[in-house]
Amino acid sequence: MMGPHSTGMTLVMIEVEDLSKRYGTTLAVHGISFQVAEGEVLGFLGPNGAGKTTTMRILAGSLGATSGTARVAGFDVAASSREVRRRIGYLPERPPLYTAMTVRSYLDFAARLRAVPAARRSAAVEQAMERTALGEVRGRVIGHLSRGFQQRVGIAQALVHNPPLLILDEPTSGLDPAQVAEIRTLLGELRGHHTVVLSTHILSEVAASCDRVLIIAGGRLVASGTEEDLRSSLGATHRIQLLLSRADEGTAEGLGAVPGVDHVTQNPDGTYLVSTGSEDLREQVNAAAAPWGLLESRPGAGLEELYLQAVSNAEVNSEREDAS
Amino acid sequence: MMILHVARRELLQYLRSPFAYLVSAAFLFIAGVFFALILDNFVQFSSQGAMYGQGGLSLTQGLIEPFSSTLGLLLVLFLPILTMRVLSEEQRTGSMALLLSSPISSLEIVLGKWLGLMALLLLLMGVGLAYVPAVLMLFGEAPLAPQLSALLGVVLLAAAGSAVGVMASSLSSRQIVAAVLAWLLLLGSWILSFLDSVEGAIGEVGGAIGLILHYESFGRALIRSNDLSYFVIVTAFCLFVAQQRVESHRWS
Repeated sequence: MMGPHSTGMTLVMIEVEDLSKRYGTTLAVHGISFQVAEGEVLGFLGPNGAGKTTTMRILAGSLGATSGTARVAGFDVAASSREVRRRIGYLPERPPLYTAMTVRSYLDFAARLRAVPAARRSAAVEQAMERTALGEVRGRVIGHLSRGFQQRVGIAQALVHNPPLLILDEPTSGLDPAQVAEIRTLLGELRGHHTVVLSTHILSEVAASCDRVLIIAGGRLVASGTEEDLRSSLGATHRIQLLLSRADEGTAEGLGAVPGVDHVTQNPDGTYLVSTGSEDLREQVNAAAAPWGLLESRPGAGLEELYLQAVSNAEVNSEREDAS
Repeated sequence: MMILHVARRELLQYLRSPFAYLVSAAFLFIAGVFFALILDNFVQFSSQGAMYGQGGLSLTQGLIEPFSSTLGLLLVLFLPILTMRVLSEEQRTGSMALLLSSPISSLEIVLGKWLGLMALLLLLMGVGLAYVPAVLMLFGEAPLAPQLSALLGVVLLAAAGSAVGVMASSLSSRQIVAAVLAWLLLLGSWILSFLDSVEGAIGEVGGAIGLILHYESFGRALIRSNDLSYFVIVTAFCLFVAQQRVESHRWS
């Protein structure tokens, strides 16, 4: 039997090479390549329509690629689709629920479909409910549950057969902050038991849950790595984000006059972002900002900024390509 | 095994659905009314025949044949209401993704759905129409062969009709579209049967694909190989189209 195979020290769960998907004339995914090691928690990050869902559906064996290859646990997703589907648990963007069924009977059906042997089925369902904290609603009809519980049922169906790979498309979309926190805790508990690929357009989620991030924009892979990798590969400089109570037209100019400051930009949310090259000039910048009512000063270049930077670079590049 | 899991869920879903009970009750009620009318007619005709010293209608001619005809038409009218949701609903609600991401083939999905429907229909008619053979036995020596032949006809019609319904349901995510399409196909082929009497090619086509022509012979205790193949081919063809359609969801 095949399984995750070894390249050097780490076991590879997913190998994607030059993967493309075209819908009519639209290129949804454009020559993406990446690998995911066994046990890794990988986050797909990108704006809506970037190609995240398409890539995940291809990995889940429920969509054919136009070109390129993708292998899961050593099996080609197109040629050995059934073998791949045996090894994955997939939560699509919209949880695939039968709303007229009870939680327990639905998970029992999911376990049957995933070929869990009859002798272990009941225990597998119990375990999935326990891991997703669904015990109290086991006998309830799914259609009567809250959005948060329904999402948990969706995750429970993905892990009922204890698959080595979990593919979760936007597991926290449409949930309220308390429910998001619950799902995030759940994702944390999955670490170590499964390889997880999850997509999101919420940055804090990636920072909270993932070992590594792939940023996709316009169907292309624009950046990948840990938060640290991204920081260095994107050439992030020291930045300071300032929240001022009495900013005026002269603020940007005044802050820019501090020796060592490269440039100052105003974010859409009204905060100012001061880039200071390789020097740490927090003290000087804060002092200069005091007259405009400094409320808050924090180091910039969090994931959010890296993300926006990567996405805007990608857009510039694709415009250049279109022009040439 | 996978087929049976899908069929089981399908049957259970119907058994938990108030809508399915409503449709079944309406079907059985109308079938019962027609059976009573046909029975009354047969009894009157037989007693008149006896009064004037003529040989009345046989049980097959007077009861089995007209009732199997009526039952056929009722099936054609009611089946699309039961089958319309079978794949449309999965497409509309997104639950199809559960099936498509599981290690199960599109053929197993379609066959499972169809078998679940067949189980429902057999249960519905087996329980709800059990009085028919009982009443026939009241007349003394009810011949078994015409009853079995008529039963075979009903089962084959239910199989083909369900397959048409499954196919229609695979073609649209809107249940009403699926139902109308199934009605058009089933009633259309029923009506085509009347073209049989027309001279020439039209008549031949009508004779070949007319549903009523192939169905009614079973009610007359005639089991012909071309009728059998007709139902087998229609069933297989429709399930094949549905399978292709489900498979296309996976790869489009």
